[in-house]
Amino acid sequence: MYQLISLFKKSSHQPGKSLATSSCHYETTSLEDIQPGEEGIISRVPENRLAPLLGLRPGKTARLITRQSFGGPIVVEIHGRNLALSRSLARQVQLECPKKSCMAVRADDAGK
Amino acid sequence: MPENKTLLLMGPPNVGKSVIFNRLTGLNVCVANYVGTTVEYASGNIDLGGERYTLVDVPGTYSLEATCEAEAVAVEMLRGKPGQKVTGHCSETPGAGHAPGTPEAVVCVIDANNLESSLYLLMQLLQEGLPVVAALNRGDLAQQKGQRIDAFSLSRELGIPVIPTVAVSGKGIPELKEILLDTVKTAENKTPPQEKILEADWKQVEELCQKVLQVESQRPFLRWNWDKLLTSPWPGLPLALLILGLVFLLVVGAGMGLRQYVLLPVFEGLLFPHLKAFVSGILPTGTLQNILIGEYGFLIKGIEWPFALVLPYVISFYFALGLLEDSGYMPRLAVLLDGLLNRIGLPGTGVIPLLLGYGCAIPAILASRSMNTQKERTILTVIVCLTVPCISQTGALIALLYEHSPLLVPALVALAVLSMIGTGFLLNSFLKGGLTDTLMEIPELLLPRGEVIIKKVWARIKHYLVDGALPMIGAVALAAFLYETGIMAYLGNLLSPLVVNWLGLPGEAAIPLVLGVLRRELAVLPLLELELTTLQIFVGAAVGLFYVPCIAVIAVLVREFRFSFAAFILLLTTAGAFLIGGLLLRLGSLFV
Repeated sequence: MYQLISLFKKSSHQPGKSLATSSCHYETTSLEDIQPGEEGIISRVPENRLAPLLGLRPGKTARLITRQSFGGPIVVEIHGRNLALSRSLARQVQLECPKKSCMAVRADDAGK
Repeated sequence: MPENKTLLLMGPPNVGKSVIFNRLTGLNVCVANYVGTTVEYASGNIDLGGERYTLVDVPGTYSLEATCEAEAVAVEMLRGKPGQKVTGHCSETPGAGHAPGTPEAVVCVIDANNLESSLYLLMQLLQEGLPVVAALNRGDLAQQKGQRIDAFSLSRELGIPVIPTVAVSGKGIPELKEILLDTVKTAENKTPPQEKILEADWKQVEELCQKVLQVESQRPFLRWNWDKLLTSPWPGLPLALLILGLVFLLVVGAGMGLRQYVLLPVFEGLLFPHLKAFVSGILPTGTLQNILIGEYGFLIKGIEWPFALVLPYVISFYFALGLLEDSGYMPRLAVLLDGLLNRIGLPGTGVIPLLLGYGCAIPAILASRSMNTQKERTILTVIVCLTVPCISQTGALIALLYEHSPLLVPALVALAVLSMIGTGFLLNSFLKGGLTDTLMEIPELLLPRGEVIIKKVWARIKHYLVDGALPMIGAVALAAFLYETGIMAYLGNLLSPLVVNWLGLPGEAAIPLVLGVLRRELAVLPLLELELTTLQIFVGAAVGLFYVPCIAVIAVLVREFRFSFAAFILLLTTAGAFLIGGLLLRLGSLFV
């Protein structure tokens, strides 16, 4: 699993690489829908005064750290900085994540 | 005297502006590891090449778009409009608060850990056309994370001096002063500013960042493991309960220990016998002697209460609060409790003013400015005024309850917490408006620094001696006078239907209710001198808890809100105290 994530990390950090034309398939999801430890590249951010100032901008890699209980916020790491976002805001942050099935293929490739 | 020229200290929140401010001016304004510690700007003097300048510590802003109040104030100050008055939330009030004109230069503190956000603000600042010096702070922390920033090429790219600093250790401060002097002198000679005007947009900022930032290694940061434990609901929430419980025990335990084993023996064993002997030696027995050393003798209670009873808790509370503030645990608590606090209409960050309120309601009300809406601020303020005892009152309550029966302490804590939740629920459903979306930064977890905490506790003690102990002594003197002249008994008679019939307390218990308007702890302390049953003690303590916050708080409410709101709080706390007290008595009588 670790290998797989690090593989993805490398590819996601390549500047200027278009997601749409990437050889592997990405799926669009939201910050609310990924699991702790998973990450994705932000593709759309809702209108919010603070969001861009805190690093919540398209093109940035966001990793989910934890999800608070009692409907509390989620905690994400962007650029080494931890942010807490309410669920409703997180739902509106669009992410591009590698497809789970794709990740399996990649893991196979890595295995060879 | 001609007014000093002004320099501004600006930057994003929580990058250490106030630490640099303290270093540059030698003052001691409050610093803490969370966003929004400085809610009002502080100013102090700085000596540059023999000339005095006024340095203004501007509350942190992420941008200069002036879309919120703090930013609007910052922009106003940059363009030289007069601002408001000066205080920090736990500082000695520094310097005179004259409104500054257009600043000579700006020191922009930028954060090596979050370079992009800092540079965005810096670029907006450069567009204002003022001479700017950048202090690249917290490079030590970035280095621990395996990042290095080339200050030299950053300076070249921006066309302004960039000085690496580590504010907490004082590194780079002399250099910063030197460059600042240079910059101010150059600006005086009217040479055109040498900055290249860069457009503040994210693309530019990101490109610039890539040029100057070298990621040497993605070193796992040691404290991250800890951080994860503290920020995840499991085991973060149980740990939060444990930490808050330990803080409570530390405050109460250390406070009681100081009182029982250090201060009381000194006062009762050494000081008071001499004082009594001295006064009875020079004054005949009678009213005057009683005023000084009688039941409310202000030489006795006026010294014992402020110094042997309240002061120990002031010390232990601000020590514990300092640990919480400096470590960066408060924002983690805010994130953990966000979901729960939302149910009573507060954002998670409301926990910071709430905790400050256990020290004193005034900084809590000032800190409540950071709430997103007026509704949130109102709920928070009502909760603090009604259900959060200040540290002076906590000391008094513990003395009253613990010495009678230790179990009464958790009982009152439970009552206070329940009423806090109830008040929040009620207000949340009655006041209009929903919650705003939470979006906050969680600062790095840092080891608290002993030097900072000692300075903080010291500043707090000094503040308490002037603003807490002196008025308390005055109020005790007044009480002694009223008591010995019989005026108190008359007032007690007036209030006795309420006190005796409704609350079931002896007539003399009207005394704390009269004094409690002046200071919160005086609504409790006189009860120490009465013979009361367990139920009476609990009712008396509860009434004291919910009763009117002190006169100083009412004055702050008038300033921060409106007169009508202050009047509402007065009415609510008085009515609430009597209502709950009377109900407790009737409920308690069923069981006792």
